Amino acid sequence: MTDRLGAGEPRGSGAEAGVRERVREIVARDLRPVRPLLAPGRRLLLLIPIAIAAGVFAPIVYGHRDFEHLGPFATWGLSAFEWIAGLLILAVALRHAVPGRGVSRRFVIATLVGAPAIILLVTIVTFFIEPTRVPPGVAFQYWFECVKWPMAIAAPVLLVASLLAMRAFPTRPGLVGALCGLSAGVLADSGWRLACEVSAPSHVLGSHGIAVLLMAIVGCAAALAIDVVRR
Amino acid sequence: MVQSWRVKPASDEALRDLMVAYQHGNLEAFDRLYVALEPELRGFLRARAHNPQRVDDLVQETFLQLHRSRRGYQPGLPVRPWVYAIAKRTLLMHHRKVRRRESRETTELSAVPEPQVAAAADRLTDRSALVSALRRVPADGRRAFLLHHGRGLSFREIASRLGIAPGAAKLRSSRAGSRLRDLLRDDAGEADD
Repeated sequence: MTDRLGAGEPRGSGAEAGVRERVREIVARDLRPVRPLLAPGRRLLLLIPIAIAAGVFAPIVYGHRDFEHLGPFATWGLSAFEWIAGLLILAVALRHAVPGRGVSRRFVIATLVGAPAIILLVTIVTFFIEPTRVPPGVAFQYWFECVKWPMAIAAPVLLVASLLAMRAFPTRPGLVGALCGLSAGVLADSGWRLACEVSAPSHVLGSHGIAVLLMAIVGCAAALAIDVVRR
Repeated sequence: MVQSWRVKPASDEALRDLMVAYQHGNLEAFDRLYVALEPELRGFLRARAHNPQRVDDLVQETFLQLHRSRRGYQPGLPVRPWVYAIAKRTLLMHHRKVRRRESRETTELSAVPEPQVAAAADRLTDRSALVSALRRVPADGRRAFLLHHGRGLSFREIASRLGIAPGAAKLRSSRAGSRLRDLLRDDAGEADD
């Protein structure tokens, strides 16, 4: 072999040559052209339609609260803010999935802390504008519906986002999966908050917030499972 | 593309071209990538692996992981950060596996009772009987046993001295103790007869 890279033939021991031969044999057996992964930004563009669907599904299908009383800011305005935050978390997840291009630990922590903070902020603002509480006697039913449906709406987003993220073979699959789940939960909640007629923080944080948290846990577990199976 | 490899030897630009060719299914490109990256990856892994004997395995696993995730390399980006992130991950997985194995061995061995050899040895009138019995204990176990009971080293210290896991050192010492006890008992029985 010519010395094109200035490295020449490996000068190692027999064991090193043995490793090289083994690796070469496995690679030669499996080698076929592959299409390189799209850049994180382009993969994010692919996810925008499904993210829009997750955001508008609940208010369109299940109806929405009193828009006239709440006004455009507290309805679509805050939902758009939450939706954009969800999309940004997804961008962080897709970027962090690429080995060697991960964002800093501080940035990841800020993202993980920022998502619940945004939900909290939106909840407080909405409650301040129109305080509504869970009718007596149906607290569990309301809680269950507001955990179940956001999770169901977020599931397709999580599925597609996880598949796109895991194709990059992330070095921290659990964290990437958790970020995908978190973003899917936030995107779904941006629409669900318009369909849910209750604005009391105890209900919103205890059900919508739990749904987002569960999505992050499911995303983390799914990504780790994919990683284990793939190894 | 071949010309560009000649122009910038081992530079990241050359590696990028090789990586793209490798993604297109070019085995020669992989060979050259291996030649260019193996020495520095070996050094990186050797510096961080607790057991130098595992470096070959780690190098192999890193390149196989690189092969599995070659689709994930984005053309135009530097190759080394991507490769080193994969190497770091391989190393982390290796450390986790070793820790898990050691923890399991220690847990299993915590139930193994310490052999009561000293009591039997006290009853020996002839020291040569003990030396003779010790000689019949397998060398691996005898060494661990003497380092622990004779010199008072911890199993962690013995492990680092013998290049084995602490759990394995404890197991060897325990087995040697049991073997020694059996031999001394047999010898004592023969003497009584």
